[in-house]
Amino acid sequence: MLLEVADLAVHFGGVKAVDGVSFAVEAGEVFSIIGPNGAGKTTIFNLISRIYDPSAGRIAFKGEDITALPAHLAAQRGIGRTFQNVELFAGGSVLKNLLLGCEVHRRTSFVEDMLFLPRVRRQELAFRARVEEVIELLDLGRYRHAMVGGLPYGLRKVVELGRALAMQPDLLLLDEPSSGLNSRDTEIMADWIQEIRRRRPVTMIVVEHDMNLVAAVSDRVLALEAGRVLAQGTAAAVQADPQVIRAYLGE
Amino acid sequence: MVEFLQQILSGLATGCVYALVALGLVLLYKATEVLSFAHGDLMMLAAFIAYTIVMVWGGNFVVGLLVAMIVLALLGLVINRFIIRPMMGRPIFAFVLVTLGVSLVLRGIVMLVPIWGTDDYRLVTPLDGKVLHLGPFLLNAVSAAVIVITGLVMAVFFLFFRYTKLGTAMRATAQNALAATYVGIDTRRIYAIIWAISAAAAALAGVLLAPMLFVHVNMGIVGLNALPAAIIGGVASLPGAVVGGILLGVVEALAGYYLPEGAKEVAPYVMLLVVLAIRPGGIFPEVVAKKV
Amino acid sequence: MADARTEAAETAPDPAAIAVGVAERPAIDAPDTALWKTEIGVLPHTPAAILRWAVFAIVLLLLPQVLGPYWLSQINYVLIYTLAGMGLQILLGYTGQISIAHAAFMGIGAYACAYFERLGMDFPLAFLAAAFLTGAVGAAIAGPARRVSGLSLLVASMAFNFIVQQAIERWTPVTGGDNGLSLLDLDLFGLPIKGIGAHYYLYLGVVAVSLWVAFNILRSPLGRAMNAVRDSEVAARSMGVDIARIKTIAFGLSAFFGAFAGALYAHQITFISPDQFGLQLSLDLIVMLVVGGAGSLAGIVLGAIFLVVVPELLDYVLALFSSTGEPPGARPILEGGLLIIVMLFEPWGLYGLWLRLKRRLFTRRRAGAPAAGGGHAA
Repeated sequence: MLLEVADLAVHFGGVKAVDGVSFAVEAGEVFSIIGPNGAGKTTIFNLISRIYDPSAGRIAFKGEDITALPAHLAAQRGIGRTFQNVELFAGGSVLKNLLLGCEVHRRTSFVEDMLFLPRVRRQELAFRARVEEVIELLDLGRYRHAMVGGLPYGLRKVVELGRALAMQPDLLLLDEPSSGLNSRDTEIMADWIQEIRRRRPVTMIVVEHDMNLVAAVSDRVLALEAGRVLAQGTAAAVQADPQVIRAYLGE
Repeated sequence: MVEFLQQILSGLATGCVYALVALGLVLLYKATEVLSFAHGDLMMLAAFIAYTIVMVWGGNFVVGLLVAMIVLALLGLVINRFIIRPMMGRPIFAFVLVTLGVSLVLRGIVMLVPIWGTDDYRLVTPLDGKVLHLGPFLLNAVSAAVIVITGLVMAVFFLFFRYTKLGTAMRATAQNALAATYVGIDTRRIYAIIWAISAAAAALAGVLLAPMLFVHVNMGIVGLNALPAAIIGGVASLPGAVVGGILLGVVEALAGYYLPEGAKEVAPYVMLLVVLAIRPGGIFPEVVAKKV
Repeated sequence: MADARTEAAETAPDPAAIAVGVAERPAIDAPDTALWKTEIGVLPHTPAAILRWAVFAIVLLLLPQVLGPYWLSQINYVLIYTLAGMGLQILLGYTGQISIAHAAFMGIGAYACAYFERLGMDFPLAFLAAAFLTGAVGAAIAGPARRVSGLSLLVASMAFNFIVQQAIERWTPVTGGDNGLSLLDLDLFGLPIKGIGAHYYLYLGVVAVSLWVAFNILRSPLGRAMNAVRDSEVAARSMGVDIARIKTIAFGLSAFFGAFAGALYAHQITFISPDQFGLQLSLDLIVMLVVGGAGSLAGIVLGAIFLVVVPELLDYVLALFSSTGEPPGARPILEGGLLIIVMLFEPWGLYGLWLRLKRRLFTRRRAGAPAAGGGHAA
């Protein structure tokens, strides 16, 4: 088990955003989380990537208990993610955003950076090589030096995906990769996910609304409602679950 | 013990002045996200206007106060229309600098006007020299008047924001300007009114402060103390501004009495750092978490 | 879509591109290590750029021979303010921390350097020791500063500035208090630095080294991490950036370079007093950064020039108009008016103005907005 989540819960004021959620994700699989708006899907991501602290429960990653680990250390352990509202670094180019994904592989101290020692130069070239691979994978070559602020939304989502990939994470959390995209861009996004699976097997957890995308890419699915687990299993099984049908028909 | 409480009482008056300015600043900041560095010198200008009406032209104190408030309110509208409005959307430093420019211009104007210039002036009030005896405590009638007037103004503010349509519209704009436009509120008009009110509050503070200090072109520096007061109270909290201002005045008075030379000047700033260390959001913090 | 490489100082600051406009880059498919090396590097790599740099360097080195003492002295002030601006830029521009306390760092550096020299230390040692001391102070306040943000940080930094100023005033045995402190003569490893020209070379040397370090920061992981903290703390944390570490480094470095500027400033004016390192100076530096066009080193230099030239200009203008002496309110009105006008009409600062002029003068095919760095530093 790459990731194990046990009885995870978090309260905001009086609201139980996540209430006793447990699941496990195997290395190499694509695990999707579905549910109506407000079900707690993104909250779970924020808990796993350690942006939020849980009120109760346990998170274990690669056998280590990370429940109290600071977010930046969770990233260094190998958890990468994208955000529902794209959180790129507005002041930079595509290249610069992607290069930030390499921060977890940085081995130079700030003093060495300030003096730009040969080590730093070698590291920069190595980072650039790594990032160029991602650029090639995601077909971003033409936008390499473009400022991300000026790019269309669909492209920014791809850049954010690339930034997470540059981290070479062991676990990739994709938060609504198709939200805000039209059907054509959604297909492209589905293709990227498949392509990534082919090229370098990274475990993924995907939060999604688009059931077609979910069915196309997932090994297993978790259905969430009001912070609680409704059903877990294969996409077909979960889609057929009566509780899940009720939750979706009611929305 | 009596001395201690006496100092608190004296500090209360300056605290009320700080509270007024802080209130104006927080109101402005909440609604428009503009931090004004001009308010100290708006205070100063108001004091000069009141001085002219009362001391030079022999008018009534209350008339002087009202005229100063009206003139400053109009000035607030002008500043909003011609300087702030064209700059909406710019980062906070842009407004810090442009209001700094306004404060420089105001000071220059005051220095240039022949009957003003760079001298000290006294603003005489009908209550000068009178002292209230409250049990063992003494309180200047002037200070007492400041406290009472401030209290009344706060009450009016509170009622206005709570119960009038315009007040509600202003609160809505302060919370979420975009949503306010969707509901049909004319936010530009609201901003203008807020600037007028904020400037008038500074005017009131300036005229109330003048009898306690001197009327002088540099008196605006006192207005700078309202900034720590606003932050201590909680930068987005109107009651906080009042509490912060009063607290600041009291602490300043105590520091001036009990601590060695120089402590009084730093007291507001040390207090700010202490409060922020304990409660980073101020006394009434506003919880704003970015949703990701 | 044309691959427009905009003039951000974020990637390799190629003076050739900055000076003339944008060169179109073809899409690159194969790993092109040689190209990456030039993009990472600082030195010019095209014959035209090398020539430009060489001319620029020669002009800089020969300046004392050409300019008279008055103008050279003004340039010295420009150099010092540029150095101060760079320190502030690291905190404000790179890392997005809203702080108006830079004068305090300059003050601590100035007084520390003067004090260490009086203890017998040679200038280079005193200079560096003062910088490390001030850097430590900066790093120390990063901890508390992390817990507040935005407006609270701005006012808290104001408070810090004010308190440091008061502390300098009160600590009379070390600082001389209100009576001020005069600086000992400057000498560099036995070589006396006397005269405007000698000072010029010293300042130029320090500024050049600092500029190199600033460029290094920008093109290294440190600079990227700082920018990440500025642009999105949440995303930065998710990318493994230790926010606490970056803020501590940013405050520390800003203070370190602030001390450089303060110590040189002290030696330039040879007599320091507490009132010089107050809010006024901090705000002047902010004016410099914003008016100059923060986000680019060129903007800082332009801002420094603005800061040095404007008072002189005002003196000149006022002298023309008034035969009975300068009317008391004229100067603040002109200064304030100028500030308002610049803020209203040129959001990208003088550097933005310069870019617009350049685009009109050197018409080459060009697309996109002015340096993206122009806005976010403020």
